Amino acid sequence: MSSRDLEELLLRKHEHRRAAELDWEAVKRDWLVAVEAFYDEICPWLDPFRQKGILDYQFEDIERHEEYIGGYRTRKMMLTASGERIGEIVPVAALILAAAGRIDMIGKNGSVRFLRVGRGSTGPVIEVREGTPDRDAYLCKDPKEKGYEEELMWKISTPPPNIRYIELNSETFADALLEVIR
Amino acid sequence: MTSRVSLSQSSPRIDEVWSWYSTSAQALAAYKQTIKASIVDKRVVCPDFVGFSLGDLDHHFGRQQEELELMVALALLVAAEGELRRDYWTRVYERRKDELSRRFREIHKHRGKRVSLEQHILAGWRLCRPETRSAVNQFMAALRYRHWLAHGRYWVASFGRRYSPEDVWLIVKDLLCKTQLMQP
Repeated sequence: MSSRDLEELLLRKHEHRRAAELDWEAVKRDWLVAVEAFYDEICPWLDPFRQKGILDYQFEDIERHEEYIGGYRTRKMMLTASGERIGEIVPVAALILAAAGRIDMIGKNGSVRFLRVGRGSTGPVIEVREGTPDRDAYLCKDPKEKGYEEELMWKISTPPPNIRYIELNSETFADALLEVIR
Repeated sequence: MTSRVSLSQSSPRIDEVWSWYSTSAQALAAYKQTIKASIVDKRVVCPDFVGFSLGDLDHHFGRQQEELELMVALALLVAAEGELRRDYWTRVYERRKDELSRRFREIHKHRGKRVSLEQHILAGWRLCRPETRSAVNQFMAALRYRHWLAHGRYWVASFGRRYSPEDVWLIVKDLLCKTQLMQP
């Protein structure tokens, strides 16, 4: 298996060299801000239920460690109803395939993924190309459309195999929450 | 008089199984690196991994590798079984005069096609060719692993040892070399 080991080592070295060129501190900062922005977006949708005393949420600090990015501290949200824990919302990682971050909402009935993707994106755009990769390409709905960085938004990702990105709003969020806790 | 078993030429040799394993394992490792690099490059190269974190990738490819190793172990064990059974029928049909072939013909007279790998073929080797005994014993122990794999791993098994593809390769190679069904 020595040729396999050699190939693995060379690929790892190649990948680390490319990875070293990115500003990982900036990626980390961007991710931590995006997590808080997610909470800022969803809390107003939960607050009416909270005011009625039928749902509550608290935050809990969590430690994370990601390859390239290193360690950081963020928050997860615990959801309770009638004193019983019904689910939690957990930041998973900044480095996600085809997205700039993922947050999962987990309940006893399963989980829903929130991905941070380009505003116009309705689903992953598959690229199989030779040559130097274009880091911005995945953000665009049209892979030919380059030259600017599209604004990133949190969206609900449907499960594979037919992954689609659904706009995140109070209604789609309520549907997602219902799906995992029902 | 029962009809003859038509011996096929399509059963895999253990070196072919090993070549499949080696190529597949290298391909898995290379594919994982491609997918991992695409996280950094922000490219989507395969829809199956959309939304995966690096930890998810490690877990996914770890499971793929584990499953490959289990299937390779099974393929090696059944390839060896194919060689042993082919040899059994060849000895029966060619009416060879050595002690082992005579024993196999005797078994054939009483059992017809209902010949057991363990109770008849391997037991015959162990009895008539004492120099193969250690290799046969190792292989027979590994057959418990083969049965577990072949029957869908539905029970919690304890083999008293771990069987990696490399371990199984050494066991079947030793057996096939000692029985002269394979060149060392």
